[in-house]
Amino acid sequence: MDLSFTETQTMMRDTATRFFETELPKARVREIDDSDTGFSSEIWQKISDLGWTGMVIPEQYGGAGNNFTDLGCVTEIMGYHACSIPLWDSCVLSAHIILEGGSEEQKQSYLPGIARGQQIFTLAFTEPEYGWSAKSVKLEATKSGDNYVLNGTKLFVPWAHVADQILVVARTSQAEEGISVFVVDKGAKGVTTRLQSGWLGDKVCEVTLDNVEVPASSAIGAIDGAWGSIEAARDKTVSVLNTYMAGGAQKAYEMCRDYSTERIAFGVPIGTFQRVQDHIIVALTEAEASKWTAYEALWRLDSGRDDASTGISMAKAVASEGFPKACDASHNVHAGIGVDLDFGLTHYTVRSRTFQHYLGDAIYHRARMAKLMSVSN
Amino acid sequence: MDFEYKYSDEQNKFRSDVRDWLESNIPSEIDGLEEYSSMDEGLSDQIQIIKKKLGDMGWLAPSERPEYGGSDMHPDKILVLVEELGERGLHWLLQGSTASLRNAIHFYGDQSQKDTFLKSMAMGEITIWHPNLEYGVSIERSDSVVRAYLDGDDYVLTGSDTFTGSRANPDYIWVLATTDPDGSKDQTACFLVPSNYDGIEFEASDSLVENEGNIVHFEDVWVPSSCLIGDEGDGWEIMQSTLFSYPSFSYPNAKDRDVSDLIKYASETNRYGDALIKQTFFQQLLMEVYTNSELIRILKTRNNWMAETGKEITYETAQVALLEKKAALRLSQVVRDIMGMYALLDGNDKNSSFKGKFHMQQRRSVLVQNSTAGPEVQSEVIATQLGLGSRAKNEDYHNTDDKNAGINL
Repeated sequence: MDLSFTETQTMMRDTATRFFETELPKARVREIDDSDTGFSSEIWQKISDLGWTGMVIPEQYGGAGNNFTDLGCVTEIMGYHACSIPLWDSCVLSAHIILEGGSEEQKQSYLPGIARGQQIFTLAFTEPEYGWSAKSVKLEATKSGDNYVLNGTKLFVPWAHVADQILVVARTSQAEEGISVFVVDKGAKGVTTRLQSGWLGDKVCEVTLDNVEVPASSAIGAIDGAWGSIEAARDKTVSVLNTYMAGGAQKAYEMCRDYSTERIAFGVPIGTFQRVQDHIIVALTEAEASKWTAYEALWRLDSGRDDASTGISMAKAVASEGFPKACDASHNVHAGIGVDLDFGLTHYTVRSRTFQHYLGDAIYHRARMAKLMSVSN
Repeated sequence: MDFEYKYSDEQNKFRSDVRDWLESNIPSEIDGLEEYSSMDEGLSDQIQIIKKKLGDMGWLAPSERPEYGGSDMHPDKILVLVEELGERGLHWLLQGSTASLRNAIHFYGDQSQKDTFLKSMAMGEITIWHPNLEYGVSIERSDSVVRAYLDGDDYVLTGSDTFTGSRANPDYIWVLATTDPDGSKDQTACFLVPSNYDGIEFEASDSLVENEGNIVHFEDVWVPSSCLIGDEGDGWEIMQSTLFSYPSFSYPNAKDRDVSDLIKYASETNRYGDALIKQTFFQQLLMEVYTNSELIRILKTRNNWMAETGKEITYETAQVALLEKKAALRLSQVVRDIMGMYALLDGNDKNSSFKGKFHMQQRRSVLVQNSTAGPEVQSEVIATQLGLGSRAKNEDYHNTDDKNAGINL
């Protein structure tokens, strides 16, 4: 048993901390969040130059071949600094769907660009009937000669507005898991993306596919057989997303802890009031619960344990509830100042709400745990 | 990172030996009992026999020196012993609070006291009641409600206090008393008092869980100074040091038996025309309590790692204790949701499940909220350690003395 970070991981964390402290002060977070795209190509380029976009892509495809805990260390710091970039959407989720199910030609074709950050991919999975199970996929791909024709709407697709390629998940048979994944060029005829508006962390889009014709060769893996690849890639993505959420929760906790020692009421710091302390303790505990379950799950994943998926889902269930709760508790301590958009706490609050659902909420992941533990149907 | 505790060949061999021994020596009535309270006289006697057998093996106080009845067992082997007993629901046979008292006697006691108490404790020959102890919390000096004054060579004890112990009819009572004649309660002393002394009166346990919260009255009880542990004035420090003895390990691979049994119950029980486990609502509840138990296991692993690697533990122990309290109450609620009225049946009812263990969980979940004080006590410790409370960090909550070092069994 050794819960310390490796020397390399410590170095990565230090590098990430220095980078975000310099490049992403809270005013810059707000500036990016308020921009039309919610995306900074400058930060994306710098992160790509640091090699983070290729961390969990094998070396033979232009990546660095790090393990997921290594990346989790970086994403934790990203979460702490409220950095929004399509790192896991492109470089983990999409890359690993291709790695899991793609042909060697597809891997050679797509992965080096993803690893270098030159190509941004995203996964279009969820639809108006929102859900993360295979049966939630209704958008149909129908065979037409050597091609497939895609018709339908995807919702809440992260970063589709800045992506180059979209991995569209489509139903190709009526069997529950009869789904396929197609690589669709965002500029292809019949593809439209619309940035969805609202109180959102990472930006999400509606993607409409109107008679979009793609060659059968654009399918990643077997027709009707993509679910396994999606689920495996999603596990890996969730495992690093969990540390991002833990990092955000940690920041929300630290903000309220620090504020409680500075804010004076009735002549004393508010942190001396037990009711205020209770909120701080909630924030601390939710942050640490998210962190330790996340790293335990990463350890299960990296060490190839059979129960990795259960641990990952458990950690996501914890983080999906813990991150919002940590932010809520922090707001309770901050009171009015906490909702000031320049103050910085809301950078975390909005992300806690967004990532609560992304790749499955607590309810979804608890149900999945039950299934994985063979206690359900 | 590596969250897995890896066992050596020596540990695996020892595990096999322990398993064989337990198989041969644990009577079926006790196997899987999981609960020490609410048992009849016959069962209580059987447990004493088992404790003595464990004592003969040097396993009841495994870290103790052989001359005091232990086997000077390496922590790696103690871990295996605890796990194997835990597998049978019998981990309570090795109770940590007794270890705290032994530590106190080692550090503060004179040679005669060591000779008198340590071996008989390690051999399971005597039962000692002690004040309610709870890891990670503080006690107040004013909690001492028994007064002691010196009269010649003896002390005279007067007052009442609440004690807990592993069985009825203790041989000794560990008493914290104030010795300040002005009654300011700043001067305290610890005594190990034979329970058969004149003037000691036991009030029948009237607690939610038997043998918890026993009230003992002391009315002009003459106690020789040989019963004093440490010096007069050390009492509060002794209590503090034993309170803060960090549980050096906590079954890194142990599963929560209550949760796993509840899942088993839900798998085997039908309601609304289907097994409970197949129904979405109950699945959510079961996975919630499973997650709570796993979170506690993971945070205990963190704490163990911090202790083993010499990292300063500040709020972490109290944090886990707080989570355990909350998780126990939530589990009790989920048990009632899943089992309905069956959750409340004890082992004497023919319709009970799992020998009525969940009925005891219902009781205990309420009791543990206030073992020493409410969950607010853990919150207070955490807040202080975060530098938020009115007390300075570490003022009352440190655990750095030699007397707390080592395995706590």
